[in-house]
Amino acid sequence: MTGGRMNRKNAQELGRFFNPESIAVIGVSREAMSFGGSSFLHHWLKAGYSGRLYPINPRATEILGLKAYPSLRALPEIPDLVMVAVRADLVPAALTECADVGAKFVHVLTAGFSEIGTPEGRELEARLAAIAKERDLRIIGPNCMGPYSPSSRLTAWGANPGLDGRLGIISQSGGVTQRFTEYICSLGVGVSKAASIGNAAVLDSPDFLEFMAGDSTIDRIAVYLESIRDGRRFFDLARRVTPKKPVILLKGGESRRGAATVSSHTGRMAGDPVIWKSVLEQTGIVPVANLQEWVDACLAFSLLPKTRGKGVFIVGGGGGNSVIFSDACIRAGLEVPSLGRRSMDRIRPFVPVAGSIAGNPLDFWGTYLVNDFLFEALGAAYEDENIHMVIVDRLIPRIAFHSPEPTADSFAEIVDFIRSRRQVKPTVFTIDYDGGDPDLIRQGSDLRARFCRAGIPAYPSFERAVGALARFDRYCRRFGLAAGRSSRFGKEEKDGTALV
Amino acid sequence: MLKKEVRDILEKSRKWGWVLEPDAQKIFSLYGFKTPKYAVATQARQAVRLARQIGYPVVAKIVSPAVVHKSDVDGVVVGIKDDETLVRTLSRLSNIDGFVGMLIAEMVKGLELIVGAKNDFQFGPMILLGMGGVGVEIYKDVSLRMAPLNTRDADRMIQELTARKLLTGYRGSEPIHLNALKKTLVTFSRLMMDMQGVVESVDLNPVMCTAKSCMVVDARMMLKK
Repeated sequence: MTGGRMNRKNAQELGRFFNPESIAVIGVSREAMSFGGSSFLHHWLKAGYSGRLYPINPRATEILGLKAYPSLRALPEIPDLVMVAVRADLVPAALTECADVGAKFVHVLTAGFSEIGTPEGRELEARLAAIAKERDLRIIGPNCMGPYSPSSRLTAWGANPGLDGRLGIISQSGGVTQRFTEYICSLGVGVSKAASIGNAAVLDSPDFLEFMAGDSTIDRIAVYLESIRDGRRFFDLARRVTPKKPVILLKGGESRRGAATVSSHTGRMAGDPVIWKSVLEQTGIVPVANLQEWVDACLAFSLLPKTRGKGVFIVGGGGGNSVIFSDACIRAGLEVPSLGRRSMDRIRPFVPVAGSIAGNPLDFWGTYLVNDFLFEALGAAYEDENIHMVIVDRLIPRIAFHSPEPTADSFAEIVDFIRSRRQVKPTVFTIDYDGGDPDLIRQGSDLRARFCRAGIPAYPSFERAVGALARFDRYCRRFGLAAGRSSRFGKEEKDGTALV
Repeated sequence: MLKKEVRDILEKSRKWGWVLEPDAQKIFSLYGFKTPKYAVATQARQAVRLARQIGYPVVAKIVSPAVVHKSDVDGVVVGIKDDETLVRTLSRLSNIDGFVGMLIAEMVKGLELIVGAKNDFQFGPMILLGMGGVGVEIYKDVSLRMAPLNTRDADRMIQELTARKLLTGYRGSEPIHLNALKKTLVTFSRLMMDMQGVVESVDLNPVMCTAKSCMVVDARMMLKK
């Protein structure tokens, strides 16, 4: 919080934002649904939110089938959460009303504060922060989408109904988080709680980082930040959190305020991006550069067992692809080691001498067509001490090589094989469905989603698989092996069947 | 908590916004950093006496509240070997704007590194380690960490430099005293934590490192406005 550090107990009380038993909404129009109070109510109802919803509107008796109340004072109870969606200049009065009735947890959706860059906007935000401090309010916002939690059916924004899971999200952008939750939930990785914190005038990213660090339903934390007020506190917290819970951070924007001190060498060479890079390295936070890398890393960190090294076994790429894929691994700092002798003895008998290459990469089209070949290769790799991770290039059945008919769908057997071995070594698939053929795209993305939902990360390109594994390997090398016996981070993702 | 002498120096320096080099050297030696032997003179006879005590060759630098960038006004003369050159240098420097004295210091050799700090608006004191010398702003071979540093951080900073081989011995050159460098970084980062309320940025440029020690040869300390 502004001007002070929360203790653990205070951090944990933020849980109330994500599982309120009642929500009052100040600022609901009587007319057609528009973005704001009424759209949030509409989506909560649609998602099946089971708590009590109270629209506040002095000129209405009923809104969206819910009994409307003229003010917070008229409610039959003190709401656990109040959402404020009135015009910016009316927000201070709404906050005072919250404090007067004893409502402590407030989400301010309204925009038009410091982010508009005017003195009035800044002044209004300062007033909001001052009221929060004086009246002891916990405020998310302003200018944000607020709390999100599928297990509470609190899904007015983001994937709706979404998927319950073990990921925590802290974000300075509602839009980015909306897309991120849709993306990651569609691939079977569920979300425990997301906080879109906007201008973060009162509660800031470190407050939610501290909260999620202590939340036993969260194992990994995805963060989107553009700036931070108390970087020092974020740093201290992150240093404690990252060894236990991976923190995967997407940093947006170059600093506009970090003007260098012209008279200093240090100032000129230590621009904002360099500072962030070094802070992330120092704290063990996993940096990503875009939405795709963010999702890719979250898949790996959510679904894979720890890796004990960076030797990658590449299966099924074909000649040129084998070369390109190896290059990609090396570039990313991974290795493509030779297979051990025992593995070679197992693989050689079924790989033709001409037209295929037994080894690493394993260039053999039979792994597309005959599951037993694939399983023998995987089995060998799982026992080979040179190998720590596996990437399988998977053709979409329609275009499997050398096959007169589309090949049989062998998906279920592959999933059974890998799951029965509990992913002994991180194993991921790549399915290339890029391009302009809608049928291929549909089949490819469908196959990808099926793998992911079954708990096996699948990526739409080899490079993306490599990027995710390289980040995962770096983290494991720094923390994973030291962290002890468990082969996994946190608890396993539930079977991702909810969306299928 | 800062030592009283340091607080006095910082207080006095407020009126021009930065710490004069002899004062900065004083601060660093008070905190246990190695600095070259130095003295400040305003008169010719005094300068000669001090230079002989320090031992030729010496380096002479302008001390003036009006001159932050000494080389911009030709305010640094290295390799002075005799009384005559010294006196001539003093007479030239004494004509520079704001002259309050000439710093005479022992000449020090070694591998040139930069150690710096800046107070970031988001993260507070950040510590920088970089290769020094003429190419410093071309190569930008630097690594950064948030203060305070522990020994692991200092070690990682050294490992991150592209030119780290120059520190550990390259083509027959003697490796520098890495532990001395780490200790310099760690101590410097703690001092920056203590001074973050008043200091905006610091450049120790160069820090001269040899097989035996790391020495703060020049220190520029800018105060917060």
